[in-house]
Amino acid sequence: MRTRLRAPGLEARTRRIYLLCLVPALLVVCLLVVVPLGYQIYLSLRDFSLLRFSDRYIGVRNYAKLLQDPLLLRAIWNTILFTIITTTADFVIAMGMALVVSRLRSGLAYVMRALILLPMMVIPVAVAVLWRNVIFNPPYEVFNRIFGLQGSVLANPRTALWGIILTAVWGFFPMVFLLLSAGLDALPKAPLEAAEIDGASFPRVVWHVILPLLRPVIFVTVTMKAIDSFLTFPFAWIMTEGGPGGASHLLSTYIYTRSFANMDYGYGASLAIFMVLCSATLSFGLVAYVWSGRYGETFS
Amino acid sequence: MARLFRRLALAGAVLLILVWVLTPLYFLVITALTPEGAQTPGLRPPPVLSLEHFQRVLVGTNTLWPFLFNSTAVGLGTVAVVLALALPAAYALARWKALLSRLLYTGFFWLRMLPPISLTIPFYLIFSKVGLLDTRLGLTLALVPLNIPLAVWILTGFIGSVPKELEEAAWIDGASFAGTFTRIILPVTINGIIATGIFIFLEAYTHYLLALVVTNVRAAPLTVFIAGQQTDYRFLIGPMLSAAVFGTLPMIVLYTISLKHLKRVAMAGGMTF
Repeated sequence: MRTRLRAPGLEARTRRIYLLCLVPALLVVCLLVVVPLGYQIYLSLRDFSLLRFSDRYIGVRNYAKLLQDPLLLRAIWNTILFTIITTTADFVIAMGMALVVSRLRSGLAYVMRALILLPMMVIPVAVAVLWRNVIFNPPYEVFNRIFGLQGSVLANPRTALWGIILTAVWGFFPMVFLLLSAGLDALPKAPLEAAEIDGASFPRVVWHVILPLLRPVIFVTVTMKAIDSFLTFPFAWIMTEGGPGGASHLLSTYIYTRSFANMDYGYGASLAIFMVLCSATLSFGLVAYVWSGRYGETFS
Repeated sequence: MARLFRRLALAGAVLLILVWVLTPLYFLVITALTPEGAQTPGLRPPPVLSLEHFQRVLVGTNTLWPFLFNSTAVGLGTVAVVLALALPAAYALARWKALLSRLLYTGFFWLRMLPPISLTIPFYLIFSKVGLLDTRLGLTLALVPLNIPLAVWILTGFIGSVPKELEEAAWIDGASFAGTFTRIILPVTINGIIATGIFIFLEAYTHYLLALVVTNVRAAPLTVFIAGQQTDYRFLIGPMLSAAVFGTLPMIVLYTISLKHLKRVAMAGGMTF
């Protein structure tokens, strides 16, 4: 019970101070997000291209064009595939590793944890150039030599996206591992010991005790990972630039190509607005899900 | 018997993890150390190792230093601006329980999901009009909106965990709001704030997309330098990877310093509506 010793008017004064605290951040967000997005909407209604030397109002014709763009459809499909596969793979790999490490003696566990986190400490751009130039492409083509394959994975339109997926999984699983492993360490020990004493096998303990207890952590981790995958740009761009023939474009690389390689800012802007709408829809769904309380207790 | 089997399975799992984690890292380091023209076909290591690529990117004519300087300066600038804006905002969101603050908090989550690609065209066109293209100030301004939401979120978590009673006691003793903030909140949360700062720095240091768009040469950060070596990659692969290895060293240091807090930072970045 909090005692109410405040003088009248303090309530209003604190509210004014809270608002004052929020104003700078909101102003900057307005200036650097709302204004650019507004400008983007304005551009998306124009035929503005430096290649065609055009700059005129054309209404919603960019959006009409967008609905019949086969390359965009391909990019959307690729982005969905990329997001689902990288998120699932990162989760399975990282969860497996976290469970293995939790079974090791503390000294060995410490060393393993440090080693597993190493890929996270390489700049993602460097991960991408490494996998492209040393692992997949000649003259080194390590991947082909290990598995006895012919021809670069990235040069084949059917496999290029999978090469990028593998790279992104390797580059990002340590972050997922870090979160899951921290969650695992923080679990209450009593239920685990009780299950162990009852003679339950480790896989059964994992399935019936550990995973249910970890649910909030898993939800947060997987959601964050999925958002990052959905928005990612560097792996796909550095490794294939969306090629060959647009086969491995993600939404972000496709928008970049249309805007900056083709210098078609009007159409690029309409694509960007489309992507903003997609991610806004997804985040509304997510917020609604969390607010509905179905995800269990919130934690901080 | 069952126990032996369990131990073997565990050892196998550890081995598998090591192969998956270390193979690419091995090729990263070994390729950076392979001298020009000494590449071996197959998976065998080269006959000789040398530091010639490192020498080239560290003391040659086309060194990585200006780019590393840009990355560092822009990173520090971003941290300063973002923390200055996010700290008060996070304080208000953590303490003010009203519908408006709840909505704003959710708004910051929406901002976290804003695709960075959606800011590239406006920033490129606006910056080219006002002369901010290829400047460190321009790149810093471009990175600020990407990092504000996460910073606000993380810091709201940290500040929210400080008991409000501490502050109220200070108010009753007649302390001002600013005084309460600097004398009660800051000392308790300083480690979290530093970890958040390191986290933002790493985000800025590793960012590629907006740097690719709004910089060219003068303000280009290390990420653009590394990726830029790809144009003639057969020739520049050694320098590119040695720059990559060198650029990773500060990250290892920063991650190691902040690892303990990073877990909490990353968790707080999650959903605490």
